[in-house]
Amino acid sequence: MNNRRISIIFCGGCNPRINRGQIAAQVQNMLMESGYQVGYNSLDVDFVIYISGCTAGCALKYNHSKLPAAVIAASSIDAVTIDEAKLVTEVTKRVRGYFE
Amino acid sequence: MALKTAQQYEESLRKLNFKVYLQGELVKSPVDHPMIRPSMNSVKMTYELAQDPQYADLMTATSHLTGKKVNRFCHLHQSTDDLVKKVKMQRLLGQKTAACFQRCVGMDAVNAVDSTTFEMDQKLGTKYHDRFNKFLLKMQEEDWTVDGAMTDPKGDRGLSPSKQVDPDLFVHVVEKREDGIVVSGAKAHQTGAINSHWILVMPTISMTKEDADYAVSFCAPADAEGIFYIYGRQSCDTRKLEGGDIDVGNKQFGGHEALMVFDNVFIPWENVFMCGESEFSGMLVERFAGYHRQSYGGCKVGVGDVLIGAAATAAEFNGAAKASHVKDKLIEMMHLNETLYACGIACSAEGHKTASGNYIIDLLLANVCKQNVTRFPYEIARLAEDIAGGLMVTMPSEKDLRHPEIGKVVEKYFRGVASVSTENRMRILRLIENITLGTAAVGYRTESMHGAGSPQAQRIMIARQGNLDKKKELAKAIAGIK
Repeated sequence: MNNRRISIIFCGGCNPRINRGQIAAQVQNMLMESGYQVGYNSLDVDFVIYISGCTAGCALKYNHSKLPAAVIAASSIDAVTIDEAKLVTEVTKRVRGYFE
Repeated sequence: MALKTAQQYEESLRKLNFKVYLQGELVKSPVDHPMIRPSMNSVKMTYELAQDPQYADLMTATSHLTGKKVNRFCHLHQSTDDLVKKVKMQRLLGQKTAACFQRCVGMDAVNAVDSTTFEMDQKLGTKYHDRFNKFLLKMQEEDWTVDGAMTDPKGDRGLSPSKQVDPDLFVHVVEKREDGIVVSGAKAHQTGAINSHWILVMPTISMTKEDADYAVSFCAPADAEGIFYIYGRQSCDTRKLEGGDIDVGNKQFGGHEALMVFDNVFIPWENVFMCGESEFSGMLVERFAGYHRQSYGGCKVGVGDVLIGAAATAAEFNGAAKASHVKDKLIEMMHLNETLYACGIACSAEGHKTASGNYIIDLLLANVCKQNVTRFPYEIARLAEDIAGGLMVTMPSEKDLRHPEIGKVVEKYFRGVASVSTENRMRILRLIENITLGTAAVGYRTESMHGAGSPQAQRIMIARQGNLDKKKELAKAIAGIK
């Protein structure tokens, strides 16, 4: 279970189209149940989940790193639009896909 | 050849075998026709400035395909900086031509087709994106002007494409062959079509399965067998046939639109980028429209700069420059113009990467930008007319000014301040007339209203993207409503 440290990095939240806090909490719960360590707003981790409230994608824009990442920006993951209801399961799938 | 010179561009057009009808006659050489040539000069400026080191930062970009320098009009935006530079380039060209320079539709089309074909291939397993990239590569290497052709004649607006009495009112596939497709129909209002090397056709509305034959995107040489054009009239256009250089207002530059007709045109598969995938037609339309609504936050602003400058000059020539209401009107014009620019820059800065890797504008802000463009140029034009005075539409012709006898009368009675010649006063007023109600008003006024979608189209997008539920949540939280 070493090297499974995940960080969720938020945008500033000025005009979000999605509920960033709720999505982050659900992602955190699902990943922690599977043994991942999940924290917030740090780049000293093994994988980053960027959560931006709109397509401007400020979470990634202002916290860019070379770490492996999944990027939520409004109702999209890695630039592909999906239903908002599927964001949590899709992003956790990507995290697991990277580590497993 | 990654960058054509202006002269090479003109010569390349001469080699095309266009079939163009203008005022009921087939045009022999569109490049040399006095009513068409000013529009060619505007496109030519996009080549000329790309060669000038002063403007290279805006006019050129580095191709993501080859790493070579290409004209920005052939470039896929690789960052939000690219989106911002696009708007700045358009303002620059509007300033240099005071007209529609026509090449934006192709740039907006390739950027929309790129991301749509990529996502279509990902979902449906089609092979359009590779084909499109081959076309894009050629476009960049040859520095083509490409006409992004979207708007169909549409017939009865209450009926879908397949329900129209005449099936040709939307471009559609009439035959599928082993080696390609055959298409018929027409595209209306085609900006710069006759100054283009190639055309890139896209569907005009979101389609359903029953309209699958109409969900078609492809490229074709602008002079392909079966394609012909009927040139659009513009207010005061025949002044260009009179031979003078004052009454036209803007002798060197202009824009044009034409009806583009497809009479059973064969398109090889390698040039087809959508054929029946109706579920992706809406995405392509929305993205092209979004890019084009951004464009107007640049080009119209550049033309506005010229109009504001012309109004200020006219005020000086009239001896009214120091009047406080004139100063205030000029301030209002600048405020409106810069507001349009601010929207163009904002939707660019807030852009994002698509799945294919190119960048797209913020759709909400691009629609806000265009919604303002449907209004502000009209107000700027109104204020320009206010400052110019009625003489703008009542003064005699250039021929009267040049007349050996009455010319002296014209000189005498149409002079403003003593330090400025009557001829120069007439020139600046004719330029204002040209932009506000002459040939350039096509671009500055009515195109501002309907180009890239009429006002209601933006309001639908603003309603969709405006995040109203979130605003209600905010209000309820402040008001203590649970």
